[in-house]
Amino acid sequence: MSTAAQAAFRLRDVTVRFADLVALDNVSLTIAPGERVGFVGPSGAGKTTLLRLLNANQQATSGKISLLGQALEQLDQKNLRQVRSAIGFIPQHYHLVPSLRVLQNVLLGRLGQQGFWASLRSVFFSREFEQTKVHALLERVGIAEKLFAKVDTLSGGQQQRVAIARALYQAPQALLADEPVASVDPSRAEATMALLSTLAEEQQLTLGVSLHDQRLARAFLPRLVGVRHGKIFKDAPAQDWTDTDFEELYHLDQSDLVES
Amino acid sequence: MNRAAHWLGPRRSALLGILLAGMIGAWLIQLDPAQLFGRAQWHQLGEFFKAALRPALAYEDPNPASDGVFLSEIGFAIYKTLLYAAAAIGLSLIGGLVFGLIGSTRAWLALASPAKPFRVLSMSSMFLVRLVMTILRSVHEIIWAILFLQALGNLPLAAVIAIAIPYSATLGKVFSELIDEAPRATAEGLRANGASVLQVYVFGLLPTVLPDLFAYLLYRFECGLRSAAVLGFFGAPTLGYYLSLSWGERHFHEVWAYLYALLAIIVVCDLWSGAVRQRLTTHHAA
Repeated sequence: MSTAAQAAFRLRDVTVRFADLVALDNVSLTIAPGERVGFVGPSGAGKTTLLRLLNANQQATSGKISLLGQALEQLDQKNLRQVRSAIGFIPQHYHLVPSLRVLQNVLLGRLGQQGFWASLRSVFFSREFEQTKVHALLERVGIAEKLFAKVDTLSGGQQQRVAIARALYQAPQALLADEPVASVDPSRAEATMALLSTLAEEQQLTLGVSLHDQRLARAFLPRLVGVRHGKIFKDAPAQDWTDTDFEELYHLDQSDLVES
Repeated sequence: MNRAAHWLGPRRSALLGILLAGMIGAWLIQLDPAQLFGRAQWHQLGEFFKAALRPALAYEDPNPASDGVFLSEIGFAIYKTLLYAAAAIGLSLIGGLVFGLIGSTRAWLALASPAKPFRVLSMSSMFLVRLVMTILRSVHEIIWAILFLQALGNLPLAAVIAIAIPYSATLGKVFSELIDEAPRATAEGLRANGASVLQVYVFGLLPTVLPDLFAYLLYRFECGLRSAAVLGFFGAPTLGYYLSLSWGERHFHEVWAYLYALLAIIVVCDLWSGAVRQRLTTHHAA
């Protein structure tokens, strides 16, 4: 077991409560640097809350969190921004700025590392080396020709790759992707997972992905964490997950039916 | 009783109520349609409207006070009206951006500091700014003009500030609503990258609301042209100033020339802003 200083992400007895709903219930989890982890489980199980915790985008009601070796409760606003900036987060719906160009959206990835004026200069008057860097990243994700396109003219799959490029432009130590295959068509899903896992491997990034598709999860992510009712259901290497495990994870019991 | 209530219904009773209020109001202020008839002023009014068919192309006075050309004077008045409106709108854009930011719930929520004293401060400044905006908006620019002309004398600045005050407040209100209704996701995405509050505002919120804000700004520019022209009656060298001079001398053909000039710039501005707005919105949807 790695210690807090070595772990990329470490949660200890973390509970997240929204009003009277317990989203995560006493969860403990350690992810080592460079690990590639899939979070699986039914909708509403707490996967997204878990990912948001790992990006310091969600406050825990109780428990201890350390991200990239830094205890969260000790971070001031400035250090918090630095930690967030070192973790690339790819939201399910990409959250790009629709009226800006692809180049500018990718440049937004560095906001956490820049002062206000520097970021203003960079986004609206980008220098050649910045454009070259962004172009290289776009080439890597396969949409180099869209460098100057407005984001709202792109397809969903292309927007996703802009979001990935933006996360990479952060020069992150970890990548988190929330349901990256939930809103792309099946033929693209495999390519997206392949891209994320190759990128993580190449750049030795810690990767956290939430998803439903057990076939893709097993194929691309060596470690799977099952989440159900806000608790960790099973945390094991992908090959140790049986079909019965998945069935049980996704099985609707009486309480689910009553709730929905 | 029950059937009567059924027949009345909310719409009919509202209609009846308004009619009744109108009748009571007319009776209380002693509106008398008979006053309209048999007045000498009708003749003058007729003359005024007859002049509409032949707007002046030269000074009506054979020995005009000004030795310039009438048409170039109209051109100058149009030019000044445009300048005053542009200056006022420019100033109110700055004011509106500041008001809009402070007055928006979202902008403050974006700060999302868990510290309680800060929350109290942010909420109270938001409500204070909203109150100030409402007050500034509810006073017409003509009232502001009277105030500032008293205070500053007949300076261009007085007229421009008079327009900019209520316009800033209106822009601020519209702007804060645009920010509050803008999709939340973009800003949140930037926060997740480690962006600061100011960065979230400038890069995440401004670009999403800017097309709408700009479209509204163009509409306000049109209103600004009218306001700038009207402030001429109070001494600003815009169309209204020349119009009031000609009116005073009963040079109705000149008056109509100025009115047509005002109409023309507003129509042109409307066509232009319509075209720009169309481009903004179609671009947005593409």
